[in-house]
Amino acid sequence: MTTLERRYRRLLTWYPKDHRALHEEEMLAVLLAASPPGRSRPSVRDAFDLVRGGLAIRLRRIASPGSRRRWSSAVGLATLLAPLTLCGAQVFRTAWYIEPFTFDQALPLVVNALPYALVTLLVWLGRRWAAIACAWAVAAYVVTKLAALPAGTIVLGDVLLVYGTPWIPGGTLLPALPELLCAALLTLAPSYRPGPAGSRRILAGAVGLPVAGVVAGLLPGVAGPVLMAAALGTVAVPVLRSSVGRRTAALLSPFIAVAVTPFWFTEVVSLTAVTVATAALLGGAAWLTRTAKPA
Amino acid sequence: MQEPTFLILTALAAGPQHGYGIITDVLEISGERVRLRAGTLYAALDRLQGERLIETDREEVVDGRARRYYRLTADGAARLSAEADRLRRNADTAAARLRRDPARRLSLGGAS
Repeated sequence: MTTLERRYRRLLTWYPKDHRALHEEEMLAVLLAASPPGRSRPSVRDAFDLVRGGLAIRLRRIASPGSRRRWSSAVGLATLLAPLTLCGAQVFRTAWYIEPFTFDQALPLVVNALPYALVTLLVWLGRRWAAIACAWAVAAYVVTKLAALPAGTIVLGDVLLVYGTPWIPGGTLLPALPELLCAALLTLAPSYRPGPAGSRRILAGAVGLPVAGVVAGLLPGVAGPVLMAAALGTVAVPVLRSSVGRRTAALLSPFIAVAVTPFWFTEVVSLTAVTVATAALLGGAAWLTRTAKPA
Repeated sequence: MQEPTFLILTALAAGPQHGYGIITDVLEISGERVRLRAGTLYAALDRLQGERLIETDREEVVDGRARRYYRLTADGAARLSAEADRLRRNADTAAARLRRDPARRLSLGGAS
């Protein structure tokens, strides 16, 4: 194998595996036939053209009809899991922060989780407009509640209130981000369908996870983390092996990150990054779903 | 339809061709103006196959490498024909309007 051929082969790794299996030798023949004698490395324009072609093919694979249907299922699942995560996150925090766990301390926080239990129910019943209205109403309520707090208040999750200098301007509004993301997701999703085969299992796993989280929060010693790790593993493996599951996980990743670990997003850079990434993700998925044809 | 796509379909309208054959044919059709590179060509072939405008005709092994021939499908021929009609109408309109302007008649080389 010549040096030139090896270098072309390396550039061809930009192409999807199935495309390479079919066309690698053929493309190499074309590239070698088109390159002038004595050349030992690809020209810059050829290299750029190969990379661009590979990315174009990968992009088209993402937007292929089969892929669009899987995105559609993933969006359908995400519309159910997003309010469920918010509901679960409230319960999770309740269990995590209150020690020793007593019922009368937990009650007001569990009540906080009820609006999202209602949104989840509305999504489950397919009441699109009711779910959207409810999600935006909760988001608006959270925003006004946070905006009314005195200057210098930092809110971590819904539990910790710290007085001090704000880390970022408007940082007190940060905890409203998951609520706003959830409302945006419900609005952008064209319809709430749980999706075809396979999604039922993913759903069961996703419901089991917050439950395991709450139980893990209540267990003493190492038993809690061990249970949590076991639950995560049991859910994560089948979810990530399914193509709908991977898409759903991608859709919910910024959302879960913000809902579960709000303290990561108290700086302008990380907050901007998560907002831009989420907007791109939700916008892209909404576009793929809205242009998907039914199977 | 973009020009490289139009030229690739035109190249295949004459009969099945392999990748390098398409490149040299497109160069000739376009009067040495469009020199397709491998990345552009194979991205276009992937898209056209996805749209079922072209398909694989046959494979040959030359110098130990697979050489795949592509051919136009019926859909591809119809699309190319429609696009050629559209371009012809546009060109005819442009030429007709230029002829109507007396100041430009001489530069078009017309005798009228």
